[in-house]
Amino acid sequence: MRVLAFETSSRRGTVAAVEDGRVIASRSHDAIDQHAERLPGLLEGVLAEAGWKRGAIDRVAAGRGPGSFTGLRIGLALAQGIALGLGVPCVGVGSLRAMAAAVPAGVGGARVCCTDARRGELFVAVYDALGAVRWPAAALPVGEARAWIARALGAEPVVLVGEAAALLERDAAPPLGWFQDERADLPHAAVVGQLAERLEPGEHPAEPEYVREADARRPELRVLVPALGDG
Amino acid sequence: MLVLGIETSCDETAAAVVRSDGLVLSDVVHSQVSLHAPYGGVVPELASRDHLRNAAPVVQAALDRAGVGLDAVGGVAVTCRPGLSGALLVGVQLARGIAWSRGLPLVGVDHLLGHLAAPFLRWDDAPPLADPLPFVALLVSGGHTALYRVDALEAAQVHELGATRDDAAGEAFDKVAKLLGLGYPGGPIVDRLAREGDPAVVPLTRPMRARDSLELSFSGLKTQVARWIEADGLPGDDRRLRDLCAAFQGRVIDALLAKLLEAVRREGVRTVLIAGGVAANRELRARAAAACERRGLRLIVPAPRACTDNGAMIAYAGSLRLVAGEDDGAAVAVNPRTCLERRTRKGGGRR
Repeated sequence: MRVLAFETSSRRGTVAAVEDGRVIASRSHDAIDQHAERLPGLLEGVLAEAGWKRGAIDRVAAGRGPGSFTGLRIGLALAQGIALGLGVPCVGVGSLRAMAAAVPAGVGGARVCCTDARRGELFVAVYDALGAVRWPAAALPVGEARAWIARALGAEPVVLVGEAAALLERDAAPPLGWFQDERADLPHAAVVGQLAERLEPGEHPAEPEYVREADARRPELRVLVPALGDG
Repeated sequence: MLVLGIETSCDETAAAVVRSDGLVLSDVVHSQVSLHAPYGGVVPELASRDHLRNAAPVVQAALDRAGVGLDAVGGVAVTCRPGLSGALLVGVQLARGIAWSRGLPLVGVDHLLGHLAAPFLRWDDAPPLADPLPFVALLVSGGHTALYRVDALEAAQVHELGATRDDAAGEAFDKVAKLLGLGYPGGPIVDRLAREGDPAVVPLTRPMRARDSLELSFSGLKTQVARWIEADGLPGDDRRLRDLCAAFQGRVIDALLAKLLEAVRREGVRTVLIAGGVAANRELRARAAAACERRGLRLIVPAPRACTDNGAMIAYAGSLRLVAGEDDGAAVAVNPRTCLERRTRKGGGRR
């Protein structure tokens, strides 16, 4: 199966071509707030390197977050458009799940995956060594994340995943194991594509997992006049 | 050529399939009004989220209702400005994906140019309008209020004659409705209440009375309403509420029509277009019709569904460039501001 994958939930944007589990081509950029501008060029580069025609793509995938709200939508909307145009399924893959899956099976311990959620918070999710969810993604204040990990996992062996884990290391507590790799430090389309191949599209829609609510305050409205009909 | 048009600039997710002669084959609009109503206005992040949820299904519905597949479509047009950046991005990225996957040309369309395309659209095989060009347009909605001279449906041939210095007219309706606790959107509610009121009871003054200026302003009128409420108390569901709505709406329309008619006189054109969401206002439609008839002007006010945001107007405005062989491709970029000429500066002061 040929999967075209996007991942734009973090400051890095990546595009990858994956075929039967193998990463055929991938491209990335890390220009701030440039996902929409850079993706077309990355996409052309990946397709050319893979030697694929557009019609040869069997499935499209994108990271569904959590991460930058706008970043997520840039990748997901593009993926949805390509899937609609080609008439192929579109699959959403959790971005923290993709980071966990970048850790080789031989590395023991629960994978605690972190990305920078801004505003002094981390997005954190925990997966076991086989990729099953232990704790779904949540936004946690940096100062509370370590205590949360200790409560959630007790004395279990733990491997930290993600460049944002550096924010935890500032704490005084004993260091935890930290797995570092290009495809694990931030969510990567190559892993998103590999996971997407094995997922059921209907169960994993290409929709964002925002984790956070939108900022919106409801004013006090005294509604005098009931909703309008056609009158 | 058949063109797929996609619009997500504010609180309507819309897509349409339009033939390059203006015939609308399908026109699907998913409105977010009820989503934003509890907040008394459009919440940008909620709008973006809802656009992403609905954009692909709305496009698919537009293709299905037109009874065509993408193989029959010759190009894609998408609103890329002006509007909420996050909302625009959803439509642009979806359109980019569709165009790329099918090897179709893609053009970015200015939303305001889309509204000005309303007279060229035909629903249900109706005969085309006789050529409306050149015309003076009053574009009046929740986000924009401006007068244009339109010599052709391309950005360089559209000249701003005057615009609001502060709030758009539709925004003023929303803010006054909020002051009065009437809910959102304010336009249709105020319009309905105004019909039962007497516009002469509450003394509000018409904004921007100077005849030599074609600029508009509505924030002062809103302040007059706020002062009146402060002095006289918030009206209940009664006569006073209806009189206040009638006075407010009357002064807004006085200002719009005075500037529109002055612009038409100066430009010496015989055709007038009123477009945008506020063009659905009944008093505006009725008074504009009467004023244009007295002067022997041809007035075009599109049907309400063609006045509010839709994908058909974007498809048609884009089709002119697509038919000419243009393709913006990867260069389509989102911008919160219009590309049309702007002469009116924001803010007060004499000029």
